[in-house]
Amino acid sequence: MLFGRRKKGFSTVAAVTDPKSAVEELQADEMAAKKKPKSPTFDIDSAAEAARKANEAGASVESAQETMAAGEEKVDLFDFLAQQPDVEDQFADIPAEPEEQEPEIQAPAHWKLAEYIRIRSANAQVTGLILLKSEVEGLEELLEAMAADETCKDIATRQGAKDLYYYSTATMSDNYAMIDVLIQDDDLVSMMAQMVRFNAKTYPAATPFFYFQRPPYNRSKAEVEQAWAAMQTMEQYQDIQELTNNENTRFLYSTQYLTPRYAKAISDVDLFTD
Amino acid sequence: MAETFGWAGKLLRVDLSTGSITTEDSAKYQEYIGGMGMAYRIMYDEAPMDLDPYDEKALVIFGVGPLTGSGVPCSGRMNITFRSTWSKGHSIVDAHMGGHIGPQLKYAGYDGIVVTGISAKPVYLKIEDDKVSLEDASAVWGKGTFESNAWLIEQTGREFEAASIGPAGENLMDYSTLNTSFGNAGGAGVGAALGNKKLKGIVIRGTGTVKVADPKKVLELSSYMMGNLIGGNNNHNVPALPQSWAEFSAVSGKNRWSGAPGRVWGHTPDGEEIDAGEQPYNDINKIAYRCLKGVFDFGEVASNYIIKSGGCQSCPIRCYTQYEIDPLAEYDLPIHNSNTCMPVLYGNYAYPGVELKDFKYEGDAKMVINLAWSHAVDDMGLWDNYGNINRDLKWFLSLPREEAVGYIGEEEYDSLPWDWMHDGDPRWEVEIIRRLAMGEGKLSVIAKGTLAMMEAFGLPKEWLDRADGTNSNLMYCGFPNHHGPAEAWQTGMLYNMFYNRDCMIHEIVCETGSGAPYEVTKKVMEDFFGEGCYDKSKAYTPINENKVKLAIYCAADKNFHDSSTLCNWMWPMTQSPSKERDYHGDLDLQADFMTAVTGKTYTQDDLQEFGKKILHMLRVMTAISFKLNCDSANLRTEHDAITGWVFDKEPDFKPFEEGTTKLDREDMKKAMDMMYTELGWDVETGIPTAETLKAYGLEDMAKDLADRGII
Ligand code: SF4
Repeated sequence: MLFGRRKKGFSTVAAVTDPKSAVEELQADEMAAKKKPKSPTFDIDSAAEAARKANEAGASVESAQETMAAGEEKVDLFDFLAQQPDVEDQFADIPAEPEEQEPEIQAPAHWKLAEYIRIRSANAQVTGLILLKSEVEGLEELLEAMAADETCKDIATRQGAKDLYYYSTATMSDNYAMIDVLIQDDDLVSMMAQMVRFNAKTYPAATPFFYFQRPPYNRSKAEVEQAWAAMQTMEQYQDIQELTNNENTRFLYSTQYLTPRYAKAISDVDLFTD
Repeated sequence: MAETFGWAGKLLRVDLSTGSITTEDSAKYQEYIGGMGMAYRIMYDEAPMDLDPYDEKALVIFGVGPLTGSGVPCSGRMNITFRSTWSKGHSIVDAHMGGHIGPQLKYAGYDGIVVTGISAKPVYLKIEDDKVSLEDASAVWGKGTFESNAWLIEQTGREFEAASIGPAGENLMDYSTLNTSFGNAGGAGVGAALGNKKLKGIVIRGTGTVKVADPKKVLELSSYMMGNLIGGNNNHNVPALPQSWAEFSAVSGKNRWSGAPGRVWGHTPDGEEIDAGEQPYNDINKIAYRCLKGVFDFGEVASNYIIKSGGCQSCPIRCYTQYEIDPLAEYDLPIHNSNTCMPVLYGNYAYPGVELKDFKYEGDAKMVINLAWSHAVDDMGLWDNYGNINRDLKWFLSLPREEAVGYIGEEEYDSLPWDWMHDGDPRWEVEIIRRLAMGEGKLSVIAKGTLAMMEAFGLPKEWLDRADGTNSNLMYCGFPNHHGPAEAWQTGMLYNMFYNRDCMIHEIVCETGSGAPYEVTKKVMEDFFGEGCYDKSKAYTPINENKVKLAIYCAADKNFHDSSTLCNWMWPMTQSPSKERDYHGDLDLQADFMTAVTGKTYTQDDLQEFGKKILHMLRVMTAISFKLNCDSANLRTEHDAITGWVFDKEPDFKPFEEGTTKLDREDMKKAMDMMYTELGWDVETGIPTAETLKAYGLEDMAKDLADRGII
């Protein structure tokens, strides 16, 4: 996971792991980390001391400069470096710390569940109750235990149209959870309307059509147009209006929060404000 | 020389007339911090405004500061001070450049270079620690900066940093630059200032270090900044697209935290795309994926051409996107490009009325054209005066033939390869740039400056009042708006008034451009700068005291940045991407770094006072220049007069109505009164009073102004 977190359709790096293997992967990573000797902590004082020693040992830095100052041919940097005496590697002889004996703690079962939700959140995904029910035995007790556990206070829920979703506030923001729940609801008209209102109220800003074509929504232009056409026929969305800015970009905004004149003004691109 | 931390301790003096190269202790300039502040003192003391900018004794002063090369993030910048030949009053100006050359100067052991005299033949300045020499540069006189820099490196070695002027500077075209080969350029006419001296370039290799008083503290502050405060470029504190860790993102999809899942470096040497992915604000290892400036500048299509992100020494943000624009090969034009900001933004203005055709990918037309422009201006060493060259050119090229030939004559007009323009051929802009840089034909007066062009073409002063989309001049001084009223209400207008070039102040646009919700940013700004200081986008309120104070704060802060040196696109750390901090940055951090690096105690208030002192010095020198060159030292009426379009644009709106950024005349008069008063300047003339100058230890300047009958 070198470049960004993985989420299906979200990054081109890799496909998302399935829930079970996500947990296994985490456990495997933890095991591997435990087996590795800990790297020494960087200590600026000892590094400075080592650098000073190296400087003393390599007094020829100055002599090389003197040679150059005397007008001789310039020494190639790499040749020069190759001629230098080996300098003591301050970290070479640091013995690996003995493997720590982890005290045997029997992790409560609901921790695993919380960890699973956290991993998915870190992968930019909320976790639906329906999915959990299909995967986890004794779910109700685990959820109750999780809710009662202080160490799981980061696990939050958000109700979607069809399901209840869990996420960890440690790695996922509330607003992003809102977005992902709307995506999971899979009702493009409703999602667009809610986000247009949210943006108009919160920032305030009109929402460009292309907003929904970009991550994390990733809807096609045709889908967005279709949803907008449908929205216009629905009574409950009559506050959603369209505007075109001075660069021919189309936007949606909600008249609940923005006047048409102001919405257009803040959507227009001003020259020379780069 | 006493041991000193932060400062290198020496100043290099080069006299090109005599060939003399000397050094002096720089300690006496520490009270001016360095860079801009140090240079202003030297300029005032040694090269009074009475000198013609091209006089043999005129100075060009390269200055770095105690933070340059110290390891403080985003400190790899250099300031160059000299005299303007193109803006009203011909007063003191600065060029600013990033890259690695400023830190190299420090590592070579110098806080600055004071260049005087005029060489008999083209030379370059070679600095290798304490070995400094002037070498013959005849072989590259007349050559572009890319070839010149390559030649300089061949002569000296790969470990050197090189910068050179191009033909524009050599030909004394006032819009000229000093360039590295990576898009780092100092502008404001420094090319001509050096060209006049026959100084083609400068190469520096420093093998020393910057001594830091408390390295542990620097490391600690740096970690704190990386993990809690730094955002994207311009320190934008929310990402352009929703990211799972972030509560907010820029709804427009456009800010300078452009890196996002699916946005890639798509033109890597091994063909493997590199996805910018998500970059949680506290994951310091992903900071360099945030900016992705190419996508900010050109949209998603840029990814196809991006090799990687480049940037200045000690900066994790890296706002110089590096490209391979292969379609340009078909026109025998160079394909590699690295740049940021203005040079890449308005090349298409050379094609007014032409629907540019895509080259290789859908939507890449503007990008390819603009990057061809960027390479050509950098090669010729031509400055854009923050887009004035593009706007003036667009104005001219949009004229009907009958009118245009009245300015440049039929022969020259018909000699332009118009077919290339109509075809959207990048060779058109390259040819125009070449003519401008070479001073070829009457059209090239555009590269002598907007005021020179107006004079040559007989355009009246009112030409600067028009609101037709090709005018951005806020005053009548020949330089344009730089993040003024459109982003920063009266505050932006006020801070644009101080300098003799565009102000280069980013303190407010870093907030307004971030894309964070207004209420979130307002809270941060009001907590720092007081109630009512921060207007909503296009919903301005009448002037108040805190907006005035904010304008002064911005200028003083920028002056500190160009003295210390810090990158004003990143500093100060006003906002933070951290929800836990309620998005508040830490304005004191720069003072803490100053203390840790120099071992002297600084507070943010000290830095503000220091920045104000520079403002006073600047104002004194500007007043003297205006008295000498414009017959009036009344800066309120001669320098700070605001052009008409600022008040008269958008006729459907009244000032302060929701939906406009236009200002109100009476309100601005009041704003100027308040600002002059706050600064201790005379309200009628906009010049510092004797008391103010004395309070800042500038008695000599007070006496000078009095002797000259200015105060
Ligand atoms: S943000 Fe850009 S200009 Fe500023 S230091 Fe970094 S790379 Fe240089």
